[in-house]
Amino acid sequence: MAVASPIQHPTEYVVSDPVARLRERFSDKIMDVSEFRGETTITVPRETLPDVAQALRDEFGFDQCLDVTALDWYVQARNAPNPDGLLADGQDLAEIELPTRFQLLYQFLSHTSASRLHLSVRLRESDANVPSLTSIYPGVNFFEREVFDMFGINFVGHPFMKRILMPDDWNGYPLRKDHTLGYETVEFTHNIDAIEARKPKNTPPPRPAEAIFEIEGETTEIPIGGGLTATVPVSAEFEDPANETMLINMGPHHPSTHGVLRVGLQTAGEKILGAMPDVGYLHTGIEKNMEYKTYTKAITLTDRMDYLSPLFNNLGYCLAVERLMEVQAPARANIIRVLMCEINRISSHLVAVGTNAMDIGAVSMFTYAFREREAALDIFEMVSGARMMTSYFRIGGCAVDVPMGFSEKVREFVALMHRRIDEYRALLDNNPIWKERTQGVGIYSRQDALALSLTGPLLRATGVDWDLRKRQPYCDYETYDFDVPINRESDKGDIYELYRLKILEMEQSLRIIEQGLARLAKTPGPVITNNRKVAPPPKDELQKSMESLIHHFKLWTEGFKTPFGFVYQAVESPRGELGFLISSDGTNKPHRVRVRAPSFANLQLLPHVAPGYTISDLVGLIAMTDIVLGDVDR
Amino acid sequence: MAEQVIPANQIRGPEDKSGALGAVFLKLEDAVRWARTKSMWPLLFGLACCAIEMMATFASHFDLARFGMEVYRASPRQADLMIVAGRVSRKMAPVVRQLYDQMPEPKWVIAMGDCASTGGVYNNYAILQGVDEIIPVDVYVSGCPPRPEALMYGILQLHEKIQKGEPRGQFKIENWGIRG
Repeated sequence: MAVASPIQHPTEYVVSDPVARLRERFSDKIMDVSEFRGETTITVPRETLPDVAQALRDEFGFDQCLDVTALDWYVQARNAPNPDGLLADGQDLAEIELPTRFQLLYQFLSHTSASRLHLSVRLRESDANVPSLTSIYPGVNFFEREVFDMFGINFVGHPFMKRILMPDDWNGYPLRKDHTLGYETVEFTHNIDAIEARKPKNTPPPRPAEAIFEIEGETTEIPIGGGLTATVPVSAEFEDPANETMLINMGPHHPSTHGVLRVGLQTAGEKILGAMPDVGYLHTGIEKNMEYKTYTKAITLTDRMDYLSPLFNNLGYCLAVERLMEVQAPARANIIRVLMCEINRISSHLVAVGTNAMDIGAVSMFTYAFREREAALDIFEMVSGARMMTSYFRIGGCAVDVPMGFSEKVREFVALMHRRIDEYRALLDNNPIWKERTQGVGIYSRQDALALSLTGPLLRATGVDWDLRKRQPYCDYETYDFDVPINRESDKGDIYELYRLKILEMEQSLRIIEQGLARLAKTPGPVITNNRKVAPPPKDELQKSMESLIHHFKLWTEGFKTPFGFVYQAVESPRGELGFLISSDGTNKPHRVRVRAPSFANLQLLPHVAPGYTISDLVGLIAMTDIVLGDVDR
Repeated sequence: MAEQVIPANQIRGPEDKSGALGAVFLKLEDAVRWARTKSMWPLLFGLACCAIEMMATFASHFDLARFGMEVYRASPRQADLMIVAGRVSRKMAPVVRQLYDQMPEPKWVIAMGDCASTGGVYNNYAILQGVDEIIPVDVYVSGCPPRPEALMYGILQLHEKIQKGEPRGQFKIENWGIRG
């Protein structure tokens, strides 16, 4: 019953040189540099944040800011000797003892050196303002709005500082620790009267919703009936903007928006002048729910975020907790993880291509895609019992081993997919109608992709050679032989390019699966770590060993306690970089689980790329961004 | 060949049918209900993960079209069955209610999945604990997500319910008989 040895962190995670150069540059401004589990975090005061971010982008090569989030150290700050962090006269911010309540975390990525860097800014509750970075990294727009919505931190200089996930008239900031979970007590015979008496009656009507986007430039008001007016842009193109432009609402109930997405459109006839997405119609509060569950029980909540690729959610979360606990999954578990994830990648791309084609008009592609998807779902059901929400991975490995007949079934699936992908290519690749609707539609450049924090196929369609499986590998991906399809001809992407990359990625996934199957046959062994602190012992051992019984008991009642600190682990999901930032406060429940959802960032492409195209193109553009609303809203 | 009317209980197959069966007696209500169940038009209303399984039910492998439900309408004005597939968040609730109000009578609601039935895995500030908080539900299909066969069974149960003429759906009743 040996305890697993601590893992070596790959050195490319560790940023040493830029840290030294940053120290020289901002020697008096950097408050703290810390390293935990191979990641570097630099604490800066908020006044120097824009300068540091500018330097990171221009001089140090960190071309993307991938995530902005916050941690609420309410309990620790409340119990600290200086609870609100109020400065005494003459006292400098750097002198007061941390912790203050809010910790803002920014994450930067450099593609050339494959390294990440975290910036941390501490804020007091009474003065929760920080300069916005949207002028330097435009892609933090949605992230800053989300932090405002969830924590109440104001970003000075943000172009549209409004709530993004919660309804406009919500009171409170949900992810703060003093905001209730909103748990509804189950009503039984003995307590129903008390619960009914507690429920609020005669709630006031909600105030009317506010505008969902700002209009740049000169505007004028036009009446739209019912005594209301609307703001429309004035431009030289329209002599009479009141009669030549329209404000149209698309969604949240719409057959082509891939879920509950609302897009506010400004159009001149069919031509789109502006498109702004309004999200939050599927906001589920998963991140807050996970703070109330032990680490293992929270795995089931991760499935339902990006519901087309649930195994990637499971994997990202489990890998993050494994890094936090310094636990390694055995080799057979990694092979199974790779196999299941690549099958999931194929099933997710099938839905993406199928719905993309259906929205543009090729409905038969949808039926073909779902027919093949059934084969993949059969494999998931065979292994885990569930077609979609498998929750198959655990901290330290997989829940159970694959059953007999798994390899044969997967081989059949691979053979089937090879034939069917040829069919799809024959249907769409050189189809003149498909090419006319998708080539040259939705053109965006590499600068756009980097600036807007796009990841995944959207980034590779502009020629950036970045795939986490190759550049920051996990689960032994570096030992598999596969290519990453990128756009080698130009640095601009369009709908056709995205479609082409997805088909090629499916073919590469089949290659990986074939190699994985060969390895699976040659790698017997456990599918979960033997570290009894995180993984339960096998059931038959419970009858023989007292320690196993105690470990089982501890795991089921209390779970395991994690060391203090935060860790960020990302996986390459079919949509892009799916990252889990897990902050631990030393207890058995996570202090904060932040899900860096790829669709949330990828949606920022839509307002940038839609103007100039028609409404019928917009449908294809929404499909191009391949968003899953469960991933966007969480 | 002389026209011979064969009594209904002696017909062996299509070769016996001469088209002169005579009169068929049934109640108007039964005929109307039969028509309603056999050509129900679902509202294309998927919210979250259950929507993917609903799409799989409409797709070729499970094929809901064989029950007359091939035509799914995005416009509530032309639909009579609302399958609430997925979790209903507080921001989405007024939209669901408005869509339900826009559907013309007769209309039915299936709550597909655990989240639409009772709130599912999520008991928090953001999710309605069951869509029956805002609209009356006829059939609850449990599962997370329910298999396509489960959804089809729920739809067939709804058809039976309509055919028998049972009373229409109900809201979340606070005192579900537990008060006695």
